[in-house]
Amino acid sequence: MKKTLQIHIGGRHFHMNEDAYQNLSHYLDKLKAHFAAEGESGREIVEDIEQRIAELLENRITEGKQAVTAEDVTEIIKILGKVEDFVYTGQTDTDYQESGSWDRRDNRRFYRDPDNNYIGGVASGLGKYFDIDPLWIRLAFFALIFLKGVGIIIYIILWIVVPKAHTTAEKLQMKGMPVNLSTIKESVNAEYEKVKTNLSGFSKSSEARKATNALESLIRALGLIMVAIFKFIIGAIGITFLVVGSLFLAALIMLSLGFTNILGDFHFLHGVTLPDFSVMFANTGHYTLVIISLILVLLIPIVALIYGGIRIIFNIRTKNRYLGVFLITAWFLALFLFVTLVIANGTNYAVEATGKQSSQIETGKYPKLHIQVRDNTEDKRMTVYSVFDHKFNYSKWDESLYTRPRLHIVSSKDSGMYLSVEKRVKNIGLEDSEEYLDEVAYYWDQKDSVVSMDEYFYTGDDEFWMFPEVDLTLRIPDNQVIVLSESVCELLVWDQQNRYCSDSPLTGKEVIMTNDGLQVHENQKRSVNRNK
Amino acid sequence: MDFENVKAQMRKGVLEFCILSILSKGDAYASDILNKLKESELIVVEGTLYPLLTRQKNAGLLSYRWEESTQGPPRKYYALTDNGREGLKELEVSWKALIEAVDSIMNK
Repeated sequence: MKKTLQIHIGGRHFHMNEDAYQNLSHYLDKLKAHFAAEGESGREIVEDIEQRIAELLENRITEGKQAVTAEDVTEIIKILGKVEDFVYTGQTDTDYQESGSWDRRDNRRFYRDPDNNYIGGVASGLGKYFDIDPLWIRLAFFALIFLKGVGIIIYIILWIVVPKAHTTAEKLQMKGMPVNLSTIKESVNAEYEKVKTNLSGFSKSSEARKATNALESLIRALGLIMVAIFKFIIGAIGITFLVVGSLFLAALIMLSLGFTNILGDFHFLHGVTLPDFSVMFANTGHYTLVIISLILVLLIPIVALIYGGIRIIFNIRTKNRYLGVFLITAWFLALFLFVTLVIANGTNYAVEATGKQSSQIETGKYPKLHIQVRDNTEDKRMTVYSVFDHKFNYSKWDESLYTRPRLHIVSSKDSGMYLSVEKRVKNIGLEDSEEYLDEVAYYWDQKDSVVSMDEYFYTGDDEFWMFPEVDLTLRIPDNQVIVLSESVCELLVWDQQNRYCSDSPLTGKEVIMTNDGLQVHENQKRSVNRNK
Repeated sequence: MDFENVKAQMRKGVLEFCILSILSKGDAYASDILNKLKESELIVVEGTLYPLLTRQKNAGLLSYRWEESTQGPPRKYYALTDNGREGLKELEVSWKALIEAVDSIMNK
């Protein structure tokens, strides 16, 4: 006995078996969905087709067979054709192909499972997809966490990229079941039964059905193996994409943030962060643009690789066809911008400038001169930045970069005492090179017998690409007695610092310039002896 | 090379021409047109016809009227409009030109 329904189509009445009705209404739903875009004419088309269906159905009704069967409907659909066959352009829309072939192909999709989730349902969804216990996948993610946190990165990417199974249809696809009315009903019923009786063995009936014929199952098994091998190859390609992409991404992030040891012993780049690296290409306000374009040029292929990998592995279809076009366009724009900026800046580059200013220190009236260094930073909390081998003290307070000059103390060639300030800047154009030198500010002064030098010269924080340097040279005539304060040690060049500040420090003592550098003045020596 | 695609494109091109041609010999309802097209194997699945009819009607080439039928509900009879007749003439000219062109190339 079969249940029949009475239906009304194309102005006629029919008796129809339930499965026939479901087939037909599924077909009509697809037609309606397809022609919905055409509005009123679309409705007209569907009505005309319904009329034709009624005509064809009528031919199949005989005295002996009053009810329409599922075979009748299948026949009629064959005559009228599937929606995708209507489209005469030769290219069938993937969406229709997909929904049209649900009954033949395993259309399993990867969704996040909202019903059995611990965090985002990724592991549970993966388990459904591969038909394995999600426990193993959770363990695998956990293990991968110890591999430099790769597990977390992959999990988060999947969480973002993979959609959640919202509807019953999506939950069925997650398990790889065909989506139609009867399976949805089945699934809902199964869930209901499960809740009601809390029974777990409802798969028994399907188990029994499987064991039909030994030969058939052997052939099916061979087919499954072929499919599995094919899926494995595709999956391997996808996983390679994903892993390589993730590694590159991690490298890029680390480079951008300043972790450079991933490059190991690659000396040229050792200690160079991506922002620093970009400094080599630009020296003006274009700096930010250069970094952004460089990051885009590197990032877009990486993201594409990861995204492609995930799509291959999990058979994800995207409805957004413009994403690829957008990414390619963005990549070319970024590349173009980067190259243009580098060329534009490169021509205005690689010029060094040096400016030297020597001033005389007044000595005549003062038998003893005090040399001291004063701290000219008002901000006590400066951050030290290092670009290549240059160290800058950055003060947020006045947005300036403070750097110590280097001080040489040498013998004067005449009887005058001089302090010369030599400024040097790099990476500038020929034009206005003197103005660039003026950006570097260094001051010293003399008050009576005290010569005070600033501890730092400074530039604006956006001038660091000049890598400014300042050399101070203090020329002392032979007979001049001077007293170096301890603070002078901070600025002395390495060898002089060793000699005058370390073992037997000369600071605080009266010293004079001799052929052999600074020596303690005789008078003082004597007074020291006398004290003994 | 996907010849199915080429064939489908060819059929699509002449299908609209043939619908007009069939209707020029007298008004007909959809199933009549289908039968003639199927006789000459111009149509593979019937569903293709209906969107074309509706589009030609919307373009003002066809009109239709409802006619009582002895068997079953009323039927939609399609007829050529003046526009349709003119369009058909135009298509006939270019069809002949096309055949000559293809022939001359194939026989060279």
